[in-house]
Amino acid sequence: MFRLACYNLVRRKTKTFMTIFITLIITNIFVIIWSVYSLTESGIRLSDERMGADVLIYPVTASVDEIELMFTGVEQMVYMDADVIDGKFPMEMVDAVTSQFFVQTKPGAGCCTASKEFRIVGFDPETDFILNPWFEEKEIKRFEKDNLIIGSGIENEFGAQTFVLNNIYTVSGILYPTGTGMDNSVFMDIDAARESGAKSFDSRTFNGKLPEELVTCYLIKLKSEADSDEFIKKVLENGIEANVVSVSAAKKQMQAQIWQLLKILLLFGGAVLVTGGIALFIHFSGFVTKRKSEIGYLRAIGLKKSEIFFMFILETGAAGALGGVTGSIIGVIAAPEIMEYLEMITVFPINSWNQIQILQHVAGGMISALLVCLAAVFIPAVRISAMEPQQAIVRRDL
Amino acid sequence: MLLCELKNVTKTYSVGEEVTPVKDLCFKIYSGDFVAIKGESGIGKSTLLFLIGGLLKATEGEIVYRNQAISKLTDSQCSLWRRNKIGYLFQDSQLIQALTVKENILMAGRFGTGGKIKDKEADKILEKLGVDDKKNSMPYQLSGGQRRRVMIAAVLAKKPELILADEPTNDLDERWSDRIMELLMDETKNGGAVVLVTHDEKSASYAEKIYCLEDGKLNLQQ
Repeated sequence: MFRLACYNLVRRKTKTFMTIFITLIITNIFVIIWSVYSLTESGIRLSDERMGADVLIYPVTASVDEIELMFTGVEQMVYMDADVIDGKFPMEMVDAVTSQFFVQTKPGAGCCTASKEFRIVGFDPETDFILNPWFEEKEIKRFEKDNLIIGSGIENEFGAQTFVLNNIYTVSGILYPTGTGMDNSVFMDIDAARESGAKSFDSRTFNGKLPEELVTCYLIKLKSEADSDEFIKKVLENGIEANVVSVSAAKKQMQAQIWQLLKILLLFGGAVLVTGGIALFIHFSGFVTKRKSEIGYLRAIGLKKSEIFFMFILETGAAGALGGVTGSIIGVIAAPEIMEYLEMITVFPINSWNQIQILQHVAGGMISALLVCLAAVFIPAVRISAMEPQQAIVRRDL
Repeated sequence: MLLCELKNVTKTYSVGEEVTPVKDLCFKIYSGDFVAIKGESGIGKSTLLFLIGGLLKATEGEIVYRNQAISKLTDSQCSLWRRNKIGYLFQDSQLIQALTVKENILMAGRFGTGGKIKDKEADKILEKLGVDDKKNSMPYQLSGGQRRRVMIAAVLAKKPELILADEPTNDLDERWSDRIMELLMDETKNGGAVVLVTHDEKSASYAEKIYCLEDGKLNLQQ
């Protein structure tokens, strides 16, 4: 039976190709959607773990909202006075405060530099608690003014030594994935960022003020018993001239939007599977019916019902597996490209692929393809193998 | 030796109305028998062959092969019995489309009393039937007569005890018709039996016994 199944696969080229093609398309779409879902879901989980701050304070003049500020690496050279928070905080609720100063890279300015504009985040190594866990993990005790940290999403843009805003920097390391805008950002000492910014950009960029007097945002970590909504209410009551937002509220809002989109994608993926399964069922039904008299002959020469059934399962399984694995591989290759496109049209926290995830998705895609194929061929195979040989021989027409 | 016996076998179909092509039929087949069955078109000759070969279950009565009641076998047991003992020549040429001519012969040879047949044996059989030059061709590349001869070759490769042939000389010219009948006679000389259904008087004349199927019963004519 195994040999006969192989011959049927190899020599009935058109039918085999159709099975592989349909399965490839179904699996490809399914794996892409599943990958987008997985990458997003792990990105959301990662951002929950690694965001760090409870409250974000940023300028009212910012052209983006807090979600874009936190979850994308969009360049934002907006500033507020560094003393904007003075006297505004109920300090008994505060655990830590750190400031950040944004500038951006200038692409094409000499060799060994970035190919496009990236956000540069100047952070204060003394007060920072966002990057600190990474420093501890890497056992980096000191961060020099000529050091850079690169976000995991843009590591390929920079070499070990790189030229940024007219200065040469040494890359200390690649930040672990965070599922936030940090993945597409470059990090340097806040004073270095201010100095480079002052040299590279017009004073109008800084509203005519000195960069040392300015910050782009404050990140606040509250004490465990403090409520962020209450903190924000008190700060606003104290008349701060800045946007004050709860990071968790912003995350929830972003996640809610994404889940709506993912639900639609998952429904679409399910519809593709069902439609593809029906297409395969029709394809197999026709294919099996055309072989009725041959099946009758096989039964007449002594093949059992189970052997006929097994032959169809084997043929379908092999073609389905081939279509499935091919579709899955194309799917895992295409998924990051699609995520990049999605990031352009909406805020999408994503995690990067690792080898185990890729293998899981390829294997999962192949198994799904096999299940869909076997489900689609099951009824036609049962019907034809259960048919009495005399019926199959005599009733050879559709 | 008694090979196969039909004891009061009746077969009734329901095709809009009830049809009984075989009615309370008794029939015996012995080793070495060469039997021809004639009758009007649509009278039930093929049905009778299907019943003898276990491809159809009788409505009433019993079919016994070497003291084993075929009618009581499960489908799996019946398939194994057919595999080992029965060779079928259908009215329409049936071959496995995905296999070449020679592969069809080798495949058929696997099922049979002799076990797996060798390449040379398959080539010999094909030569006897005049299709050795087509051994690497696919069935769809053959003419009707060639397909018929390949099918006969497949049955002979199986070395069955009982050959059930339904119009085996369809699509064949006179020379090959005679040759096929001679080959079938050779099988009976080797201890096998042949039950032949035919309209062709000349083919029927090769048989030792000629029956006519009428009103569901077999009447011996010769």
